[in-house]
Amino acid sequence: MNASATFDELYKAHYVRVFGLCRRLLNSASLAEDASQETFLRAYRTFREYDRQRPFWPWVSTIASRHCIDQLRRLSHTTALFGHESTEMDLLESSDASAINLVVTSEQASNVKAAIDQLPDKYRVPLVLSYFDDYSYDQIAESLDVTRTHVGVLLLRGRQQLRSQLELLGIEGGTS
Amino acid sequence: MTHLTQLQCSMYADGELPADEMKLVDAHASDCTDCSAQLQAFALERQVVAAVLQVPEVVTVPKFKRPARLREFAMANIATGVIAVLVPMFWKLIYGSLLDEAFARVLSMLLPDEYSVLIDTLLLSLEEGTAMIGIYLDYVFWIVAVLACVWGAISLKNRIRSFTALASLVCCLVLGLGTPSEVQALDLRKDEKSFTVGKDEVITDTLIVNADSVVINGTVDGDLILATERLVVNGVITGNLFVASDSATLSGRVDGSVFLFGSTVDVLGGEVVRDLWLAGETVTLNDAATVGGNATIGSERVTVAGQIGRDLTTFTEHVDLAGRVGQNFKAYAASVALLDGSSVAGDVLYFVEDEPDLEQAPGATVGGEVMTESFGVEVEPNRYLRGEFYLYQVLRFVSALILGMLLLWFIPGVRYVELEGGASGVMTGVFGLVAFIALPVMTTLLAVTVIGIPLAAIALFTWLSLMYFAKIVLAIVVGQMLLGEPEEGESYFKTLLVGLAVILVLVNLPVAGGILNVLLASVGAGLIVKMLLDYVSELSYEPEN
Repeated sequence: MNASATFDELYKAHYVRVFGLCRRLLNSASLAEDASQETFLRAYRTFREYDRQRPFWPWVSTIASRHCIDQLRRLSHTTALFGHESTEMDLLESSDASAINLVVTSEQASNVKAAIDQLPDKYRVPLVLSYFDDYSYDQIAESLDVTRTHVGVLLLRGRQQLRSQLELLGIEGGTS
Repeated sequence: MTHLTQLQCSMYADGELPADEMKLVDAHASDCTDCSAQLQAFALERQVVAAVLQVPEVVTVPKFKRPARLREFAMANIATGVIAVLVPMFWKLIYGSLLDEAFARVLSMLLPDEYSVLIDTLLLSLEEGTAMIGIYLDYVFWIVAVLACVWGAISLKNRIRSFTALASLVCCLVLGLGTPSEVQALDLRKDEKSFTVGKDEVITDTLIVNADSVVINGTVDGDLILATERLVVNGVITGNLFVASDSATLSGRVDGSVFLFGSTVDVLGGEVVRDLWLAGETVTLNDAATVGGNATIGSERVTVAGQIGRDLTTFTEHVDLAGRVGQNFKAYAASVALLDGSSVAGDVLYFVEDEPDLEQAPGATVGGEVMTESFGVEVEPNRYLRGEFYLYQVLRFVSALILGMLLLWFIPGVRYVELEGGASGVMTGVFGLVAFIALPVMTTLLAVTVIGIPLAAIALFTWLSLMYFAKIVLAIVVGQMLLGEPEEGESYFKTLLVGLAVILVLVNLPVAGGILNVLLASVGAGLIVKMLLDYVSELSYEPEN
């Protein structure tokens, strides 16, 4: 199979997932559409550099997340998109909301999804990178240009906010 | 060890605690049920959130838009270039030669001879307009090429798509250099005293000069437009010559037509390939002067010793003809002298105000007839007695009927035009009258500037169409007044027939017909203007159910 046909196959196979990643990172379907096209366009241009023995997803998802984070930075007009480590650390209250612990029915899944969409960029982005894309803290730290501890703090803050969001929606988690 | 912090639990669940800290947490959790439960809750939470995030989006996969590749880009560039070169070429071929001629023929068949000046003017505007549009198209091509070059340069500088940008630049340059330039720029000269085009000098532009004295010894490859005190042309002008000059001497060659206004005009051995239009106090064409087309001369005293290819028309006190006329000689003059050696291949039509004074030397030959007619004589009363008049009216009626039906078919909105009574009805007429006056004024103003000539041609065409269609639209309204509005789906043929018949009779009434004609045309034009205004303001007439 020539490179062009291979690319078409990979595009068809990975578009939905790339779109999903962009959609979760950018929190907008229309922005995600553009971002997915841009991601594949960039992938197409640098396709020669891609080692076909290795899986496609990590390669293309790196391009996508990089592009989306750049987009968010551009849209927010600030360099410190992810806050400062000390400030975030201070915000870590000993939250009394209990960890989310529920059987994921489709209705509840959409509630959780809506709650994730409500999160500010600085908490949503690391959460998506870690839980959707299985990035390690080091990888996230590199992508967001923050320290490793900062990543841990942002993730915990994200969880806490998610819990309070769900409590507002009346979905109880239970400590077990 | 104190209880585990939330951060420790979170990082533990994410599997991101350093190995030594992990051991400590494990050790504590095995002793502390609270912390052990906390860790489990965090792990479960991670699973739930991850599971929710992993639910795939429902989205259709759009077609992947490949970036334009070098080959495609080059092809697009070449295609644009080829189109840009071919369009003006075809325009010139199809419009310039075919349509123009067809138009001229149709006009000469439809309109009687009296309108020949109008036809010629119209055709000239069209021809000039065609050339102008050709030049505009060339400009558009160049602007596109320059923009593409700029884009290429910017892309190169920003190192985006550098390869395609480079290719674009090269394509544009090759096309630009390879295309034979037909661009005719305007060359404006405003010398105070004298302006001379030297013997070997060639000017490849349309030249506009304003100077006290102008001498053309070389070549002007384009039109020459001048205002001067004294003009001498010894060289060649490949386009048309438009001159306002106190004294003008033409000894060279003009490949187009000549339009000359001056007090003393001498064509001494000059050659005009197309038509000659002269207005001056004294006009002389010597025996070596030749005109390929028609010569129309208005002057106090005219002497024509040269050769005229087609018709010679003079408006003058006295005309001496010593040369040859290829077709007819029409003389509006007090006195005419056909001198020895003169020849007219067609008829000699002599129009005189009072006493005819026609002198024909024995050596003068006339191929056709010599007719003398007094102008100012009433022809009006006779026209109703001539069969041609009725034939012409029938033709006029039938063509208006056909065009009217076509109009109804193409613009159904015409059906809903209404003539209101009272003040607004009068306003409609005034609207029309203003349109009738405003358009020719606009046309004249536009035609004065060279750039405006194509627009003037369009305006003139609009005016003629308005004049013609005004009465047809009015006929539809009149027909509806008399017969009532046709039922839905019923043909408007009868309505139009009756309306046109009424209008045709009205405009042909003796004496009053002329005034009625203007009045009816104004009202009709007003209706059209109103319809257009309504259409523009989206208040066009809706059919009533």
